[in-house]
Amino acid sequence: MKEFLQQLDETDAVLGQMAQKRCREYHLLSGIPVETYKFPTYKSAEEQKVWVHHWWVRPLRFFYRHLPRAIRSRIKRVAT
Amino acid sequence: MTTSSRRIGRYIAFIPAHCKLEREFRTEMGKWLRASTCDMVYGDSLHPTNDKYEEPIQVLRPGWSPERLRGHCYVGDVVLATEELVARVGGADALCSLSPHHRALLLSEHASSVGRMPLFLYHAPWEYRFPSTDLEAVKSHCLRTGINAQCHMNESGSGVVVERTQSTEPTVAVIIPTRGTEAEVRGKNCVLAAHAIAQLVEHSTFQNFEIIVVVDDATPTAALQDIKNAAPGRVRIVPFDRPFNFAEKVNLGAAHTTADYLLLLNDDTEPSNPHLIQTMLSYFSDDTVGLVGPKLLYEDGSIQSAGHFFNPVPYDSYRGFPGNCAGAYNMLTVAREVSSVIAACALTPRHVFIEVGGLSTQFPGDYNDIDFALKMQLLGKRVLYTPYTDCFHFESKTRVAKLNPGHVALLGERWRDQLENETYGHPALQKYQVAWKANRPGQRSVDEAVGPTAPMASK
Repeated sequence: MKEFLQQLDETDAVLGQMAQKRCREYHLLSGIPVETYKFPTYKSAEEQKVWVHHWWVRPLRFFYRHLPRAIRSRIKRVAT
Repeated sequence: MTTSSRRIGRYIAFIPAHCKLEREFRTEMGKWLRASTCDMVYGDSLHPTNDKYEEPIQVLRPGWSPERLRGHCYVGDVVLATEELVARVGGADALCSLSPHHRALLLSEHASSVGRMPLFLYHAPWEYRFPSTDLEAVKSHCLRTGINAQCHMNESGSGVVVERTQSTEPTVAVIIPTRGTEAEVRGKNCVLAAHAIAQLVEHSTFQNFEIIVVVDDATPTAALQDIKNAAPGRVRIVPFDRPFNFAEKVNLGAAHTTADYLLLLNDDTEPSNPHLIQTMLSYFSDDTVGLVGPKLLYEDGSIQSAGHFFNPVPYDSYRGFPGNCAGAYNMLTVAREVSSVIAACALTPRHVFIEVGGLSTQFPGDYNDIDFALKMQLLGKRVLYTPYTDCFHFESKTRVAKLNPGHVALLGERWRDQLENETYGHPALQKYQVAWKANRPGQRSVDEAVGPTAPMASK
């Protein structure tokens, strides 16, 4: 029984290392600094700071939405 | 339903008459498709309502979920496939004559990889926002792929139930870690583990199981006697004399059995559904399935967990919603792949349990089930949630998760890539929500704007 539990622990360690390796690659690819992981916090307050989410942009968004597609895609192309 | 086909680069798009390709995102779409290595692709859709002042309904679709596709055509009515794939399946004309569900199933059977494009691919009238279903298509899919199953529509008619039939009757070991806790269940005080055992033995139509109860040394003698009396002669007591470690207790239980399957069961559950084990077992006729979890309900019948959902913090999907809630676009009414299920009630083959190293003892209380499920997916196994059976879980609704920073750090060290890129989620969803909701700025309800739901702590 001890052997069985030891085998489980060993396999878990191997898989854990595989996962950690994949995670390190993810850090490298996405440019996230390797640091102690914490659950991210609610971002809605920060989102509110982005100007497109402000209440006064709503009529502009409404106007933009009702423009012909061709114009919208041109605006988008210019903007990006 | 007439369907036309149209070439987009190296792909052929199948477009039913009620759908139109979304032109606004064609530049992004072109880029995505050029970079894609998938031979079948689906995307999101927009569904304008009759009210011109209202924004169109956005149907965002999760990552590739073959089990859900059997239930209903969640990939939408428009799919794209490479020319080679279309030729292999019988040509564009033959595919155009099929229903969207039939077409998607047929293409997926021959596709080497299926991809979700997180962009709006098409728009269609708002009555087409729900996934379509084609029972005959699912039946023929099962025949073609060798799935021995009875197929029928579910009660609400929102999906097809694929009831797999099993040729053998395997053995199951029910592992219940406990410390003999006494609590009130449905107005009566009882030893939780004894109640769970009694309910399982009394109601289950599947009886080929043994019960292994891993008990702490501190368990009161009277509670231990109650546990033994709940199923005389069928309960095996395994003493545990080490500091609290849920994962270690489950692993110890697994070490005491040679049964084919392990049912991980918390003591604060009520497995009163007669088909609980049978339904979960049926999914293992497919070798790629590693773990199955049922719908977990609170005592009042509301949902405790419909699978885990990383958004980007782990949540129990639709926690607190009514038990009969169908979820966004009927997602809760069909069996589907999930990133993880809660280990309060989950079935896994014993050999897979060993292959992944059991529950990691590095997570003594929380997140061991998430780690367990993600380890399975690392080895290519699928984790399924099934709504066709349920189990009551008396975890307190008001329980506030106590986060252990060390365990969170370890979870992130192993699985940050998975947490931040939920396979069965979507990048444009509202974060920090238990439910599937498109992120539409300025359209949030007061509840959603006030703040997040407390992250769940799985045990």
